[in-house]
Amino acid sequence: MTEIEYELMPSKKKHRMIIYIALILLSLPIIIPYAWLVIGAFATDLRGVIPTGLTLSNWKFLIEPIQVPGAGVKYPDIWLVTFNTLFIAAATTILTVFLSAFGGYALSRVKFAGRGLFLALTMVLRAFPGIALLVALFYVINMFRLYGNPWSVILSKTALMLPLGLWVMKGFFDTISWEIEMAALVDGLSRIKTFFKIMLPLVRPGLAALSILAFIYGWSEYILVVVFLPTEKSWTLTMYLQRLAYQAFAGEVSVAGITRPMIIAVGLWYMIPIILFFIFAQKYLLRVAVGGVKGV
Amino acid sequence: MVRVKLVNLSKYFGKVRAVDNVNINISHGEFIALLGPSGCGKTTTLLMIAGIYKPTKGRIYFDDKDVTDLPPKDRNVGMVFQSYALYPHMKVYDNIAFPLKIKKLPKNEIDKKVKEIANLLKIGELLDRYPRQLSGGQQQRVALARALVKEPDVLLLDEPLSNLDALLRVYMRAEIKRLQKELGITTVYVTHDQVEALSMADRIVVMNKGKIQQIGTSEEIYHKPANTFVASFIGTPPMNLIRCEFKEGEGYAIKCGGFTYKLSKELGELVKSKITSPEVYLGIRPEHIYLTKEPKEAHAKASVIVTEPLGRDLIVTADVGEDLIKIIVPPTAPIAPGQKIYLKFDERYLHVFDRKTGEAVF
Repeated sequence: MTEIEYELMPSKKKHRMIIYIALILLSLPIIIPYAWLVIGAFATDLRGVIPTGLTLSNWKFLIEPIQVPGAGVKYPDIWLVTFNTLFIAAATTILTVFLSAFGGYALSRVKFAGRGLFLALTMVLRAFPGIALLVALFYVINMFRLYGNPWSVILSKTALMLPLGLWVMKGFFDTISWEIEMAALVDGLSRIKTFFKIMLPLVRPGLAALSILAFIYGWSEYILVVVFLPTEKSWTLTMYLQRLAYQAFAGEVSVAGITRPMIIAVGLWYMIPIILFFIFAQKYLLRVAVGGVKGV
Repeated sequence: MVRVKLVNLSKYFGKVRAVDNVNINISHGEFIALLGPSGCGKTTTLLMIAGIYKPTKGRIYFDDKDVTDLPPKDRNVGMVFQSYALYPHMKVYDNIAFPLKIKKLPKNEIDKKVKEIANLLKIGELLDRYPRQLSGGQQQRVALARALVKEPDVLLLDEPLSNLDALLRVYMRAEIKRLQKELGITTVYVTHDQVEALSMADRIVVMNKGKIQQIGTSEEIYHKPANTFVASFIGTPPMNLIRCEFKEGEGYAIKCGGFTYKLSKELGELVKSKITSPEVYLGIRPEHIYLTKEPKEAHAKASVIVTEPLGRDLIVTADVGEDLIKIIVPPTAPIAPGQKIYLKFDERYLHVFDRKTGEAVF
């Protein structure tokens, strides 16, 4: 027995090695840009992916607004821009999760005429890219006099996120047996309290996953910001980044004052919250992948 | 502890009459079993007593109080579900304490009651675990504890044993019966398993297609079935129903496929007065048939088709005229398929049913 195992060992090891090498090779195209992003953010300049020297000066944008001599645009304070982005992302998240939780519960538990049709239609809505709705959205936003107001982006993003949110939450509520809900009613809760005390805690993984998706969705919005929020003081990080990159590479003005590592640093700054979110919420996202509530 | 009275209780789901005009009076501390095949409306009835379903028609009374329109939380019922329905995100302790926390009882009182009931159900050492860490039997005890801890007026059990393995089920049957008698709680027990119903309940309500077929003790249900449904639902194997015809000539008789059964004058007149047509079923339980290998007078001729040895008994399936019947004989009986046998029915246990209506004549 031991002899056989001994014989098997080397080939097993070799087998593993091959798998690891294949995985590393496959991951490289993903890993390299991220590594480059981290390195570049602290480099004086880059030759390919090799930094010529290390510096913190790329991060000066955190302390004072970027000045571009002769540029038409004045760059707003990065903290204001970050706050704007955070506000849009957070509000989108809260609204989406709130509405999806209630709506998903109703779609899962309440029988009403047209439920199937409603679900099908929300799916269809999801099939459109947001940009296809841009002109129509613009009219609606204008009608409500929300042009230039961050709520224009928040409400639009929430509406576009809701189909997915409703479906995800409906799916999670579907996995909870009626008997659990009945048990809570018999134990002495009203229907509303059952929802808050029993049902919501049980779909927590769903709420968490949806929060992450909605947050990233709001955080990374660009088109709607460009269209609905024209003034610099309501810029978001995506806008900020776009302006920087555009000015540096498309040559609208002289690139004096904007270096490539600087753009990279802003890019890294933009990604930090999302990376943090992922690290904290990884386990919830994994649970969504397996689809459902554990331990029922 | 209350009396529970269901008056003309009905529940329709669209056009489906899940429960149709059900009337039951349950006395203080009584153990009632609702027995029937799946989809017969027994769980729906239970959920109406709990207050989860609103009856389409009829009223429900706890003692003299009409609770028909009260929500579950105002009825003080305890319920155990088939899936146990424990809250997966709470520890066993919090599961059991949950109904008391809702009632906003003081903490030390909750603690005392939870520990008391946990000890009664022998789950004291599990309080710190999550439901998913428990076996089926343990989960079931937790569910029982949660139902009992609030000292309910009525205990409702919905197929509580159906997810347990056979051995545990036999044990829990006795355990639940003991608890029920000890605590004296009025109990409604839903099951499709006749052994559970017969062995545990004071009275059994047999249901089919939303309607009550018979209410009675195990004894009555078993020996005096009200109709062919009850006769063929209760017993393993159930009562034999042989298609026969009622004949009137010189004396009364019931003519069956392979034999004719003579009736006394009194019985004959009784049958005549009750049936709607001459078509009847002769009903006899498998254990009330005697079997010989020699032809005898007043014995029905049959041939053996199959024998099933079950250890304690031997079940013989035989062909009598057009019908197959089952006979229970001692396991040592030397009987083989293909054999000719002669059957004698024990007259004390003979039943006659109207074939059209299914109702029992006697």
